[in-house]
Amino acid sequence: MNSFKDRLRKPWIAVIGVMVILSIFPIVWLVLTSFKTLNELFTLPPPIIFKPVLTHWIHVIKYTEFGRYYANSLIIASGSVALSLFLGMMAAYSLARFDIRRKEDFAFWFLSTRMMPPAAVVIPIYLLYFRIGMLDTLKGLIILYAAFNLPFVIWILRGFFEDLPQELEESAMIDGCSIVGAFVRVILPLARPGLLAAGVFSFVLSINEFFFALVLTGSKARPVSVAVTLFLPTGVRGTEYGNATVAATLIMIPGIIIYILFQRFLIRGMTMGAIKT
Amino acid sequence: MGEEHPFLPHREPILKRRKIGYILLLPSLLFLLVIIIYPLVYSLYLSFTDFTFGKPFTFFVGLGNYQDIFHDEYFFNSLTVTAKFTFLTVSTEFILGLGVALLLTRRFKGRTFIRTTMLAPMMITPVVVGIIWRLLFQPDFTILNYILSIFKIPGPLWLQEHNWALISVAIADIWQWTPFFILILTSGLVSLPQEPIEAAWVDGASRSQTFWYISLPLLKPLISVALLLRIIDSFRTYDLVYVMTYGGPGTATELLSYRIWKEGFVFQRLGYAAAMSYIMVFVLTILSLILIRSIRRRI
Repeated sequence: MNSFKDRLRKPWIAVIGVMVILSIFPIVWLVLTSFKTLNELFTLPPPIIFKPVLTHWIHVIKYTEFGRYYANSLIIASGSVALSLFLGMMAAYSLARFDIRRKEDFAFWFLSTRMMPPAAVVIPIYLLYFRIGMLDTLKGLIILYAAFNLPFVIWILRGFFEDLPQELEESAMIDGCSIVGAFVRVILPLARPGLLAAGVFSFVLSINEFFFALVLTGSKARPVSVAVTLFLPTGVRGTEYGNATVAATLIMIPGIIIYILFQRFLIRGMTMGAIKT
Repeated sequence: MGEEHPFLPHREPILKRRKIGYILLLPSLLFLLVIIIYPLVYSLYLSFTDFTFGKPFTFFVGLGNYQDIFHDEYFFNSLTVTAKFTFLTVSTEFILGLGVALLLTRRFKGRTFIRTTMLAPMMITPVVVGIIWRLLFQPDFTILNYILSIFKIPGPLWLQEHNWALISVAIADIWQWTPFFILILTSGLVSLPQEPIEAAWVDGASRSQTFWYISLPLLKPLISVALLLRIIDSFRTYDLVYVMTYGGPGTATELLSYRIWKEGFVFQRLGYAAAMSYIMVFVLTILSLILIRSIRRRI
């Protein structure tokens, strides 16, 4: 009986196995490639077992400006997370608690800004930044990314605030807190998972952004997502695969760490808080 | 604010609270007005001009740009490419995602672990996804065509072949975003109400009948939201094309976003690019309105 059941289970276990391999293999292959010599890169059949070398790693970290671009990315992402959390928590609290007119219209207006095509916004932003000297600056991207993260932050946090019972503020206010005091001392600490969810998600979004960074930055404020494309072919040489794979592996690291540590929060961000796990 | 009546929360002056509510909302509203709405409006204005970098005078051309767009074969090419790309990616992602989600609703050891690994591609930076697949699609020396050759399948030149380039870019997108449907649909399937499904079982419905006639209709609102979100994002794709093909070979993978970027920042015809982008805004506004309606209906 048991073995019959086992045989029935086999085909779909195989299907799941294949899907898992398909999801993971390309990532593993990228990382493996970064440890290969150029010769091994161009060998067929590709060597599965090889002596890892650090040539490309040393080159990218020591002899290119990738480290500086990496720092740019981290500064831009942290700055925009801080700014969007600060603005977003106020708006989210307002939408969760206060009796304001056309509340849902406001909420969906915020959401709708997320759907706008970057291609339609980038030209005026470019001209504006050009005029006020914000092209190729970290603060330029911080402000822009904060605006694009804001709708997510508001929607995620609103869900968390609504889950907290209103009696919390009421009893805090009976104890003499003002509304602001109740929010800062009672609600914010309890909504920490929400802040974390909104924060890590915006952080990953900011690291991933490419389009605006490509148009609005040059060598000074360039983040990693754009920096990695410097290893792509130019008119005079082909793709520097060794260096490109090192750079790509480095870019993946923050996202993967965040995914491993804060999986639940990140997933809640991905689904805009629609799924509560 | 301390002078409110703490013991009588219901008598609390509602107008006053409303005012605080608006004050809290205001910074975010203003911020988005300046960073997103003002550019959108300015872009509309630009689209009626012949604004070009390096040209000393800018003239108002009315609907001239829009008229030109309708005779622009490159624009229509990018529109077709985008439509094909969106359809190819979203439909494949949905079907694959639904299939895997159905498998993952069964209970077995290591299910959480498997789900976690399957969702991993979604967390990778899109530019990196482009690099990964650029590497895998190199026809002459990487593992993909080697594996195919083991099965005696001659691999195409992927990114270099006119007919395969768009499919190759789509494969990268499918790899990254199928997990989105797996995620949404597994949690949707798990949280379905059990009574109608059990009732169907009792009445002798088969597994597939319960799925087609009970589960799927119940999931429909969730599915339409997930599909629309993905359609909107796929329609705006830019990074993958930039990293994998630069829109080539020829214009085979020139998605709309890429074309707009090229008009604006390579050919420097910003007014014309703005007009093109407004056609994109128009399409996306319609899609977004449908999306928002279907989300509101769920709430």
